[in-house]
Amino acid sequence: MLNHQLKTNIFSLCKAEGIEQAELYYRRTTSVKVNIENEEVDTCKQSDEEGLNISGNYQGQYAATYIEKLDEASAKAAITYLKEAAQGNQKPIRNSHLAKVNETHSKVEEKQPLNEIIKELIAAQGKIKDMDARIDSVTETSYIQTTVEIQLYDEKEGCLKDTYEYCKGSVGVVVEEDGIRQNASAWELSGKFEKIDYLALGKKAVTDATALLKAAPIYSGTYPVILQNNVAANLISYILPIFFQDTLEKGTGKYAGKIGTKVATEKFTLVEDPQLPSGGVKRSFDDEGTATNKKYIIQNGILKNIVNRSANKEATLLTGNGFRESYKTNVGTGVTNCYVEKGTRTTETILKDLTECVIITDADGLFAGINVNTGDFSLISSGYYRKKGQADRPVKQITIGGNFYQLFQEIQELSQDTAASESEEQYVESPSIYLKQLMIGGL
Amino acid sequence: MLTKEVTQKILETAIACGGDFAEVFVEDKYNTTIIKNNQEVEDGSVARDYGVGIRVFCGTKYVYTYSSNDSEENLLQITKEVCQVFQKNNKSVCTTLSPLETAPILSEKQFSEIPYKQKLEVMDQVVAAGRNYDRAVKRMWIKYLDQEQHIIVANSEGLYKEDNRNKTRMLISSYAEKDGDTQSGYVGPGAMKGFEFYQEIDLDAYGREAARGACAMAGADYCTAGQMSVVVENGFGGLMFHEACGHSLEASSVAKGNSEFSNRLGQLVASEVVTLVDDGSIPKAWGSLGIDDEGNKTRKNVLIENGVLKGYMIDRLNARIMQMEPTGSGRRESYKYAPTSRMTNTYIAPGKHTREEIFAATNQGLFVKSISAGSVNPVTGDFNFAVAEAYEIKNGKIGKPVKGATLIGKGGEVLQRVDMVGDNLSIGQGYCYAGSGALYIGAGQPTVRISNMTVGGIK
Repeated sequence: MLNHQLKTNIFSLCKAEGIEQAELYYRRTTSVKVNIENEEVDTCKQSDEEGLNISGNYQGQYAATYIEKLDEASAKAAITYLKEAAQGNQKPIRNSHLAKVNETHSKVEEKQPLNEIIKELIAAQGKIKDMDARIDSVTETSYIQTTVEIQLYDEKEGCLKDTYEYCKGSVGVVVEEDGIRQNASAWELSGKFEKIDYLALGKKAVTDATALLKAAPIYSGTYPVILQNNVAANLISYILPIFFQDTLEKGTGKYAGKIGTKVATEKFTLVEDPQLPSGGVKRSFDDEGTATNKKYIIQNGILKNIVNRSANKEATLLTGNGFRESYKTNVGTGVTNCYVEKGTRTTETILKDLTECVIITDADGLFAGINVNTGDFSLISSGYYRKKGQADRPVKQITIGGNFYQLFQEIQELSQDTAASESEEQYVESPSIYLKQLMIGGL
Repeated sequence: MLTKEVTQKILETAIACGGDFAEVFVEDKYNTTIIKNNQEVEDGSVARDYGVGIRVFCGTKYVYTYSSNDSEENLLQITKEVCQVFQKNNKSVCTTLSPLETAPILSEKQFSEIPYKQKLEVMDQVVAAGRNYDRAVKRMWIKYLDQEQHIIVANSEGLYKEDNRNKTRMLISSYAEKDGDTQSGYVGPGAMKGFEFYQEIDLDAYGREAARGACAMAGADYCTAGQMSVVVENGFGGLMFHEACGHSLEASSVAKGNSEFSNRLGQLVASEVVTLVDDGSIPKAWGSLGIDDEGNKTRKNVLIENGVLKGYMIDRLNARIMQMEPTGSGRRESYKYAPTSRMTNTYIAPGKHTREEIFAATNQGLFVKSISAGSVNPVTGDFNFAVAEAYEIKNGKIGKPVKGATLIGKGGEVLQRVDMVGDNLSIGQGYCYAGSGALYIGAGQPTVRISNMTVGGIK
C-alpha cells in the first residue's frame, strides 16, 4: 500500500510546482514462482514490485512520469521530468474523475506454505514422468501465485482500490522417439493451488507432444479447418485491438462507424466481463477511474461496442477500458476478461459430421504473424488432418493464412468446449471455431 | 546506488543461507520514450527506473528476488526469504569485494542533458521526410527511445564492476494507402551512443526509406503459399538466423539437452558457406555492452564456422551445467529478471558472391527485402517469421511486390539449405523477447539465398 505520508507530500510538491489535477496510480505486484526439475527445486523466484505513476496538468498541458524508488527525492526529480514533458508534448488538459465504486478484493483461497507446495509438485512430477516411456524430460512443473494491488488517488482525497490474486500451474514435457524430439506444455489458472490438476496437465502435455512426433506437412491449399479452442482463444487475444477506439482513430482497422452493423455470423458473440469468475483479472474501475462493466462487443454477429477511454477524442461513451500495461506506461485502451459464447456441440461431435478437416491444435508466431492493421494473418501451425475412413494424420510445419475480418463472417460453428488464452493479464476464453475453408501453406 | 558495504552483506547473507554463489545487480536507468503520430505527440515521458536483483546458486539450481526498496533491512530480508529452499551448508565462502572496476562512458552527449524539445525536433524531421516522400503516405508513426543505464554487478567471488549503457533508437513506421489498401513500412536505426547519433545519421533518408517500404507494399497482391527458393536481403534479414539457430545456440536451451544443437560441437550443422558469429563487443553497436549483466567482458563468439559448430553462448549458471566457461553472454532486461544466455549482435559473416550473382542464379522464388519479427521452438528447431516487404523473383529478376508472407522451417534444415552468401554484410537493430526479458539486439547478414523453404501465404 502506498505510504500515506509520501502520497500527501507528492500532492503538496505537485501543487507547489504548479501541477494541477494531479493523480497518483500505485501498482504493486507480488509473486512467487517455483519450478521443479529432476524432482527437486530448479528455480524459485520471489518478487515484490511496486511503482507509482504521477500525472497532472502543467501550464495547461497534461503529462505523466513514474518512480520506482518510492521516496520524496525521486518524486521531486520526477516532477521536473513531468513539467518538461508537458511543455514539449502539448497534450490537452485531463481532468481527474474517479468513479464511486466499491473496493474489490479477490484472494487466492487459503494459501499453502511454499514447502508443502514444493512437496506436492515433486510428487506430481514423478507421476508425470511415468506417464509415457517416450518422455525424455519433464522440463516444467511450476506454480506461480500473483497478487496485484492497484490504487488510484486524486488531490481531492478521492481513492479507488482493487486487489486481485490468481495462481497458475504449468507442466512442460519433452518427448523423444526414433531421434525425433517434440515438446508441449499445458497450464491452468485457478483460485487455489489444490484445484490445479497437475496430472491432468501432464497428460495433456504428453498427449500433445507425442501426437506430433510423426507429424509432417500436407500439401498447400484450402481445407475445411477447425481452430481448436486454445488456438482460437490465442488468436482472438491478439486481434482485440481491432475493437479499440485508438485503432480506429489512427485510421486503421475496419470497424469505424460500424456499430449496429453485421460484422460476423450470427453464431458469434464476444463479451468483455471485468468480473468473469474464471478470468485472471478482477477490476471494478479502469486506470482512469471509470467504473468497469460487462459489455457485448459483438452480439449475434452485430457490432455492439467499440471499447474506449476518456482520452479518445471522439469518445461519446466511456466503456471503462482505459488501462495501463504497468505504472510505467500511460493509459491506453485495453480489456480485462473476454469470452466468446460457446455453441452446443463438442469439437469431437462437430468433427464427426465432416468428411475432411484440418484441426489446428497449436499456432505460433502470433506477435509477428498477425497484422492488426489489415486483419491479415499467416501463422506457423500444427495439428492433424482427418479424412473419414482414414486414421488421423499428425501435421506440422504448415501455415494457416487468412483475414480476420473475413474469418468472422465465415464461422460455421462454435464448440461447446472452451479454453483460455495464454496471457493471464488479458484473459480470453473461446470455443473451437469451425471454418468451411482456410488457406494452408505446406508442401 | 547501493553502497559497497550493504552489497557485501547481501552476498554474505546469501552464502550463509545455503548458496554457493551469490550475485547482486543494481540498476539506475534514466529513460525517455516519445511517440509521435505525424506531428502530434501521442505519448511522451521521462522517468527513472531503479532496483536491485539478487541471485543465488546452489549447484545448478538458483533462486532470484528483486526489489526497488534498497534499504539494508529489506534487501537482507528478501535474500533470507528466497534462500529458504536451500539447505544451509558451511562449505561456501564469500570473498571480499574488489575495488569497483569502472567502465568509461563512451557517448558524447548525455540524454539527460538534452532538452526534451530537441528530441521532438529530430522526430519532426523524420515525420516530414516520410510525409513528403509520396502522397500515398497517410501517416508517420515514430517512437523515440533513449536510456542511460548505470549498472553495478557484484558477486561472492569478489567481482565488483559497473557499466554505463547509453542507447538510443528511433522506430520509424510509415503507413501508405493505395486503392483502399493500407500497408506499412518500417526502419529502426539505433546505437550504443549518446544524442550525437542523430547528428551522425541521415534522418531524412530513414524517413524516406520507411515511406518507400509502405508505398511499395500498398496495393500488392497476396503471396502464394508453397515451397520455393528464398533470397533474403542483407541487414536485419539476419533475424532469420537469430530465430532459426541463434536461440538454439544459447546455453539456456543447450545445457539441458533441449536444443537441436546440444552435444554437437565439432559437427557439420550447416552448409559450408555459413559462418555465424555473436559479438557483443562491436564498438557502439545497438546490441553491444561493455560487460554483460553478470560482469563478464563481452567478446566475439564464433558459433558456426564454415558449417561446423564451434561454440555456444554461455552464461554463468549454464556454464556450471555444461562445465564450460561463460562467454560474456549473460543478459537481462532489468533488475526484475535473472540473467541467462542471450544473443547480442548476431550475424552471418560475408561470403563470396555478389548480390547480383545471387539474383542471376535464382530463376524463381521470393525476395525478402525486409522482415518484421519471428520466433522459434528451440527443442524442435521450428521457427517462423513474418515478412514485411517481399517481391517475386522471376528469371533472375525482382518482380512484383507480394504481401502477407511468412517463412517457416526447421533451423537445422534451413542452415543446410543456405547455398549462396553475399559479400555485403550489414547489421540491423531490433529487440529480442525471451526468458530474461526484452533485450536490444543486432541481427545481420549479407544477402543470402536458401535453396528451398516453406512460404506461408494467404492465397
